[in-house]
Amino acid sequence: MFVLVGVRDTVPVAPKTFDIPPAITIQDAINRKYANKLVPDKGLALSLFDILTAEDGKVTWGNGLMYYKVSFRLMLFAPFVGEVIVGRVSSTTKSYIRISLGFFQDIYILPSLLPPNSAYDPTQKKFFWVSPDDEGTLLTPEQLANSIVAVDSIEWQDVRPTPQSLIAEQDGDSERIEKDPIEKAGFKILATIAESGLGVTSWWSQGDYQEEAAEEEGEEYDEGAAKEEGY
Amino acid sequence: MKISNTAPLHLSNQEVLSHFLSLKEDNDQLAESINHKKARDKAFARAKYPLEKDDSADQDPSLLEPIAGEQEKVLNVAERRGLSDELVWVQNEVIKYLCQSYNPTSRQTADGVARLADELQDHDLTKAEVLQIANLAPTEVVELYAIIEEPDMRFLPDAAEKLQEIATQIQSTLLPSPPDNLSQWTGRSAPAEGQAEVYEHGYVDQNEEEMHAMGIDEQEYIFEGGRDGEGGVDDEKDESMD
Repeated sequence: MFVLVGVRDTVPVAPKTFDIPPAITIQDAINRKYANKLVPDKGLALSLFDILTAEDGKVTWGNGLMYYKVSFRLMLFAPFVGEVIVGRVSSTTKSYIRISLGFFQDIYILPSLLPPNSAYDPTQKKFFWVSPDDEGTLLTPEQLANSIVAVDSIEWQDVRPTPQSLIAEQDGDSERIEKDPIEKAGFKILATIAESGLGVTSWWSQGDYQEEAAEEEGEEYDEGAAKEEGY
Repeated sequence: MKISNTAPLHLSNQEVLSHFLSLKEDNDQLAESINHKKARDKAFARAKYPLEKDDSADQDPSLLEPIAGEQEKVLNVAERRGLSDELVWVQNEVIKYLCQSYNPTSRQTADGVARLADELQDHDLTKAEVLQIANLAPTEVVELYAIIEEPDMRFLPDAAEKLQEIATQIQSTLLPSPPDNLSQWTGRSAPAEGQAEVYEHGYVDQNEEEMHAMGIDEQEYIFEGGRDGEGGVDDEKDESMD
């Protein structure tokens, strides 16, 4: 879930902190720049892990900031495809179930990645499906339930504002449509709960379950889902 | 900004948790120093230029006491360094997530994870599987089925037994309950979640009294003039100048 990636960058340090040891001020500057920011195609940067090397700072004309060329390791949140993640159900709509990890809230389960024979109930605004064992109990991911999901695919989107979007914001204030969070997310994880062992944790904690039969069903279904996902 | 091309190193959740816990200690100290300095500066300014509406009961005389040169220096350094809000938010959210009841991370130790990784090497599992097992610490066999691919083919003759063995090994590396220093995140995780959700919705419907009180508090910093936020002549209406 968490990785370390090597980065080389130039960071500014303000004159008011020149008497503080540069190790500390460079650390502050890197954290200020990278904390909670997306690094495209890599992951969500959380914090600096350690500084590997740093060159002498250089001052340029125009401002008094000292620029240090630093190479350091950054801690990112970067799950790989197929990884199993635990989170909380934060919301459900007819097109997705949203799972949140607190610091990262863009994990979505699309209807195609739900177990077979699932459906959406518009009155209750929830998905539900019948459990595969003999009891036939109705399973539905409740709000705030703990849920184990497997990463199916990761999508990146450039969400920097374009000139058109900036103009649209200024002009058409009344007509602004609230964009669905699934559209707005720069770093989106699509996850599945179609295999055995996945889904809300309380469904599995009982223990004696027909694991092998469900396992086969789950695997077959997953291949079908993977083909459908390729849009 | 250049990102290295070498494959990224994976970290276990336990390593991330300990990193953020030590970061939090540093940041908490820093935040405390910054707030202390701000309060002192404000108290000194108030003492030097008292206002009509100032209620002497509100002020804290201990803030005006002179403090040792060393401590003064510490406060000064803290104020100049500043503290990144985003970093504090990320650190708090990650710690909260890793200490949740559904994550075993709060009950893991560095030794336990190292031991587990060692023991798992004997079972012929892929690196990704070892990492996931270390992070999720599944103690039930059914959870292991989600992580390990095709156990029936890889663990002849009896997959279930093998998985049970692994599950028992995992259980042995976990502490029975989270250590006390983490209790503030693990202990009240369940009710806090509910409260957090309610707070988010409740914010919009906040009753007027509360909002009025909040409004006055905030305005105190900005509009030192009149009472209901009328402000003096040259008061800054722009909050960003605080």
